[in-house]
Amino acid sequence: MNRSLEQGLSELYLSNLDMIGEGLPGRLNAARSSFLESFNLSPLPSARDERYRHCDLQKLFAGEWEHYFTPSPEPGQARNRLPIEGYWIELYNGFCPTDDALVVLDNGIIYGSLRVAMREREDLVLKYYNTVADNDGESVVALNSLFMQDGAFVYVPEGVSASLPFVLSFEYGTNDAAQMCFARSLVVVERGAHADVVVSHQSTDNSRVLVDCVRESIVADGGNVNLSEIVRMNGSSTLITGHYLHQKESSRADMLSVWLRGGTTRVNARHDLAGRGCESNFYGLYFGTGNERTDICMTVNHLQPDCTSYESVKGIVSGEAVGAFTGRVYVAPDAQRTSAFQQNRNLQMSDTAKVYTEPQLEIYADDVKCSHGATVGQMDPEAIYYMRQRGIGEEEARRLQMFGFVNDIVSHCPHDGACDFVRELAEARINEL
Amino acid sequence: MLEVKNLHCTVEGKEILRGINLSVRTGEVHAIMGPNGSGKSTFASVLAGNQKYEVTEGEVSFDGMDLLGMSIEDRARAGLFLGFQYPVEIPGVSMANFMKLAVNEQRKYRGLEPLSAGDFLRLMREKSAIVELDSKLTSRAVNEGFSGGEKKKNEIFQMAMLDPKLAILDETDSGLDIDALRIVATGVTKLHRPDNATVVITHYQRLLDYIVPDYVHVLYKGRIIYTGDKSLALKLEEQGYDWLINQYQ
Repeated sequence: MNRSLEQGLSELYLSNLDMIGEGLPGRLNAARSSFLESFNLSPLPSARDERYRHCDLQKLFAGEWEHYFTPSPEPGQARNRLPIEGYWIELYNGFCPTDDALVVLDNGIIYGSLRVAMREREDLVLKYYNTVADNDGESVVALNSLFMQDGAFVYVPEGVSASLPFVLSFEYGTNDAAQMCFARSLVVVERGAHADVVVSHQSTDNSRVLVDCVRESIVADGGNVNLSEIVRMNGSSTLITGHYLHQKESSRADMLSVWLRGGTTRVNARHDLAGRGCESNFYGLYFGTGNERTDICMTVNHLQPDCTSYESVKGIVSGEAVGAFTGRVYVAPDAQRTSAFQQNRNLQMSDTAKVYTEPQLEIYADDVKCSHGATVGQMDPEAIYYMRQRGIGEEEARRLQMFGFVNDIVSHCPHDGACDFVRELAEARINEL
Repeated sequence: MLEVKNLHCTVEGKEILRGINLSVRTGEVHAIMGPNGSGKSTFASVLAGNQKYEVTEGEVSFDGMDLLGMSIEDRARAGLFLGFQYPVEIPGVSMANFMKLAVNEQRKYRGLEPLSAGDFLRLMREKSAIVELDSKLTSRAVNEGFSGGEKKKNEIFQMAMLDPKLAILDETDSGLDIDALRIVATGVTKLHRPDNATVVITHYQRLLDYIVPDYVHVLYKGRIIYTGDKSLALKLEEQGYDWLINQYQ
């Protein structure tokens, strides 16, 4: 019998564990054995697994992948960076390139390398690290926790409102062999604090990368986070992301994710509304052309009463692209007076493009207001005709209709400084369709 | 301005227009009336270039150009405007953006520079007053959530913005209450000039109290079977179409 993928990855860990754990807290490294165990207990899911029908991790991880245990040098070529002024954290293939990359501001804000933060603020970081990520349920998360050496860390202390956005810029590129990377981030917004966070995942060249990414965001009582994410990976890349958001009482999160491009993109997002009176708004937009594949799995857990959630994810697929959305809204037995809305709408531009959508509600409380919906549609020929009758050319009319379709998503960009840029990116992408 | 000769068209193999002849000169107002299913809306759609209809015979010249050989957008840019019976909603596209694009496409066709943002806003304000269109509507998405009356006002507003040579208004009066009808019809009248022309398709004489036609045509089974002056509309209102149809048969 061939060595399984899981055996190979476990051996890769075991033969490099000294290097992986070097310079990191002993208790963190000690915990890795449990991740190894959970990874071994739950193998990487294949398409036979209901949840991974549209994204076969066995196939994606198969083949030869290089993995480097030391920081990659900064890529030399010019990159299309986000034009955002902010507290930047730059990571290449999952590592902050320098070892002094931790900034502590006068108001107590801490941001920079997760590795450095673990070394210098061990108690603070480990109080939150791996408290919300699903290491038991998702083998890719356990794998990330096993190999984690660095990442991005953001900490906003009680009552502090960060005046600039934190920009978490993850860049990937190797210029040579196919490479596997682990990307990690931890965002902590304390009681009554406010933070804007912009996350970017971007390929810097055309090389094949497989990125296993985990993000934990924790918003304490009365905290408030605006969280945007912009994904611009190349067509041969695979990005598997796990986003775990944990909200406490009366906190609020406004989120926008735009998956502009990428070979295969898999998103596991879980938003836990774990305190009374939380509000969570999520807007998502994905584009698929050629053979791109986007598979979004979102769960919103209403665990406490009086919480509100809103999720709207839209997609445009053309060529032979595949888009999949699985949304789940769970309302716990005690979560009375929950208000939850979830929708997924898709525009299918070609007969060969495929869309799978599955919104689900799971409600155990009786005093709730929940609704969901999903649509897959084509361009509206009547609207095109109407616009052409006003003198707008056919191509322009099609584009205008697509802009119209994505407009309510991009207009919910939660960062003033990033909205125009997000809109430009979406418009440029539409022009390619 | 518009010369229609022996126009035939089919939809899904069924012949709807069976030899229409019509001549519209600059400065004229024509009304086209006729029973349901006689082909009035089809005629308007064929002139606008709706691809649902296949022209099988005949020719149409517009301002000396072969209209049937032109794309939908080029017909519009050349000055042909169709007021839709059922205006289409375009979610997410604001009226202002939509109109700006349309106006500037037409200007480009005519070799003019695009309007500046200031000039465009001024034009929007000025023209929306013609049909008493709430300025809030122009910041909303095209026709989305508009009432029936607002949609029709919006058609005339667009007509005012685009200043067409020939406006064809397809049952612009349908679904309007008395006040909205007055506003819409007065708007159309205000836009009429000696150097343009209007064709109104309607079921009701009432509209023609405001928009006084030079000619009234009766369309029946895909042909114009009778042409008269404005008094024809009054007679039709009183007596219906039977006398004409009997005469025709």
